[in-house]
Amino acid sequence: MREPTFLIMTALAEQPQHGYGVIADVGRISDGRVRLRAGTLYAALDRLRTEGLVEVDREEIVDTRLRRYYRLTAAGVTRLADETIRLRANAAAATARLSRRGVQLGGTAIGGATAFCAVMA
Amino acid sequence: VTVDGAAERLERRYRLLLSCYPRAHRAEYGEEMLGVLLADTSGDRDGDPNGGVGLRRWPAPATVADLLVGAGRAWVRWGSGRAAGSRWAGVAAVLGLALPFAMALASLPAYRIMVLSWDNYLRGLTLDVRHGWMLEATDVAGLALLGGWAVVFVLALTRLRWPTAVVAWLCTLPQLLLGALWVLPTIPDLTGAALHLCWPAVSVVAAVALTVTALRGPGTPVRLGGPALGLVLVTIVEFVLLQPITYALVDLRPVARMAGSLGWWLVLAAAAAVPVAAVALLARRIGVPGTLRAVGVAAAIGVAFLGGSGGNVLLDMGPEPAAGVWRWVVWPLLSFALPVLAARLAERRAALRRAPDSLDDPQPDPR
Repeated sequence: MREPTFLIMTALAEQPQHGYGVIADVGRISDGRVRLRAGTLYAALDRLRTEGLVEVDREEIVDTRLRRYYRLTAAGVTRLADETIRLRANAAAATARLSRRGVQLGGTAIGGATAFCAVMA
Repeated sequence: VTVDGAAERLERRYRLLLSCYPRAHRAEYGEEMLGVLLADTSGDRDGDPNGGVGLRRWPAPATVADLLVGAGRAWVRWGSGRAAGSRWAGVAAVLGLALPFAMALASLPAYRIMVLSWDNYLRGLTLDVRHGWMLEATDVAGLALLGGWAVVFVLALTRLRWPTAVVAWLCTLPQLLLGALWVLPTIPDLTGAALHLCWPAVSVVAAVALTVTALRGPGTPVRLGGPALGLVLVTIVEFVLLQPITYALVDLRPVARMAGSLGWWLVLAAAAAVPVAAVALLARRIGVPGTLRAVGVAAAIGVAFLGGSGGNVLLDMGPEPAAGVWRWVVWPLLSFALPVLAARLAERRAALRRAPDSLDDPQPDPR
């Protein structure tokens, strides 16, 4: 699973959100590192809907414009959980090996930069 | 420039960019994407200190690139049969089965002898079997290539989709080369080109259909149990019925000449209507679904016209080289345009059936 897809599913994990809400939430989740745009978002949403991982929750008309809320399906929740476990295992392995080299993670500064624990496939 | 004027211009330009997407994608997401694009200005402002659309009149280059890449992806997904198991993917899968079968059948020496025997019977002549075999011997290279389609047909019944598509292309490319070698010396004779490029053209359609199936086909291969068996039977019946009938029509040439070209087309259409009706009836009795039935029937008829006597009759009757060109009009119409039209109508009917449901029965909220 690519990082934008993982973040979109993470944004939908807690509650249904509309397209712009997902974009804003992905920005917050990734601490501004990932900037989703409409083309990328809707390509991912379309694929996730086709795969049955995301579905439409409800639709609203706001200022004459369609606003559609999306949510994770049960299959989507399972898929996100599986992916999270996989990433966590990868991160744990990387943490352990770096630790044996004397590099400590978890908010400590390495060479002036904060280390990320999130490693995407 | 007023804020409203700038917003209108920006919206117009976003709409222009969104027009690069396939129509079906626009219908599903277009207005929603436009709303998001107009709302999403946080990293996309051009000097407006208050954020928001402000006086922005042009989409940011990064947004333009993102939308164009997204449109390209959408064309790949929606254009090649977006959803697994969609009607379009079904059409490709069925064509990928029916065309290799028809080509393999046409390459069988026994089939050629059968057609000759019908022909001779209808003409009141005795059958010379050796003539059939000699006919094959003159075209060994072409037959070997056509025979490869039997392998493709068998593979198309399995889950080995990519190997099927690869073998189909391996059969197609030499046919194209061979067709080009035949055609090049005959230029500018369009009739010769029409004759020698017919089979390569069917091969290309079959190979493309099998490639689409490999990319976006239904989850399971077309089983030789329901619709596929019907299609195979339809093709056999069509080959057995239509070709001898059109052969028989050769004997009506004087009648047709008297009736003029329009009369000839009417005679041909009436003659073709008989086996077509029989095939459609048979397919219905077998239980082949409407869309697939239309595809199978049209593809089989198209192939028969192309490779068999229908095309020869046209060549016999029509003014040269117009008849050869007509063959190129008739064949795509029968084997391509009709299935596409049938699939389109079926999609529209399905969409109309879904629409009232979605209005009357909103999705329940499971939370």
